[in-house]
Amino acid sequence: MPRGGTGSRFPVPPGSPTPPAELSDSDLVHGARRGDPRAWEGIVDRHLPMVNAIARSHRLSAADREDAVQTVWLTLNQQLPRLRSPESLRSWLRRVTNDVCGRQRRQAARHSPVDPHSLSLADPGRLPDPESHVLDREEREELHRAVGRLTDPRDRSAALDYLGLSHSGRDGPTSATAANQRRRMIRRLRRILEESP
Amino acid sequence: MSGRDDGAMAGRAAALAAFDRRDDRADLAVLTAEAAPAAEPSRDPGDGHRTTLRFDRDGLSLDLRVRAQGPHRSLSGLVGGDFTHAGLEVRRPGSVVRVRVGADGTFSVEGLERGPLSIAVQRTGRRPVVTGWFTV
Repeated sequence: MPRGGTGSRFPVPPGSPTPPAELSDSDLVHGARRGDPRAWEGIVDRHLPMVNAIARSHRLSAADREDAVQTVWLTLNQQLPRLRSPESLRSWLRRVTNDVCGRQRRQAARHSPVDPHSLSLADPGRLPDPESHVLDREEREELHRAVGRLTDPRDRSAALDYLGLSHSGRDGPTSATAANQRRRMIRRLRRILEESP
Repeated sequence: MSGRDDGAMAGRAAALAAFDRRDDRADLAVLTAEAAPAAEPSRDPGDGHRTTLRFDRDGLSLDLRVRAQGPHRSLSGLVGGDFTHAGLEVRRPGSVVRVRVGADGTFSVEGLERGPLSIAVQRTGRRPVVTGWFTV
């Protein structure tokens, strides 16, 4: 059974008798783009076990896991016409599943209930006081405005990545943001902040 | 394969139902910012502000705030950009809720079940813009 594959060796018109299980990922993606539900079914049946295994590895609750897995397939459906390397579908799904589950896990962690008895043990010194909270928020909003004024989209993307505000939900800079690009972006961001009234 | 819903194939029906080619020509708004309040110990984690999201596409911006209200979620937001009228749809798997956008671009919707959600914005004479899927 071809898994992944490198090209469209079997261009399949809708209604082709070739079983989806015998087609490459690339063929299935092309078929699904044309609206063939059999091709989509082939993609789901081939990759759903991997998506589920990754979701389980994130130790989400059953409801969160179900939401995350469904979001992965809705995202794939939406991105299908935009996939640049259909032959790399498996690694695309692996990355998106980890992103979606990671976000779901962070969201759940922020809202997990606390034993009422342990609330009295919480160290008030570790909680932000209202003034710091307001100042932090103002600083964050000012940064957001400054990022919005960066004219180069690459700088904006680098800034969001560097400040931990990008959609990936990562904290801090990553290797994806090249050092030179970061330095240039920080220079421009600093200039904008200095020029702000 | 129908009927298989064991561990490895859990969610197969929902995955198959996700197949829908109607939005292939829509423009996709990209998630450009996401912020959430810091975690705080709470006896009732069910209510309150959960997350703030921003999507952008060619001058159109969509700022969203998700709140929890017990088992339900509410969504409020602001559509920004150069347009005179915008229609908005909240899309869930298998259903669509049409939402009225005020003259100032604000909108809100309450009583949402938890789960995946995407938003489509329609402007006269332009291609629809849809956001990526996220969970509420």
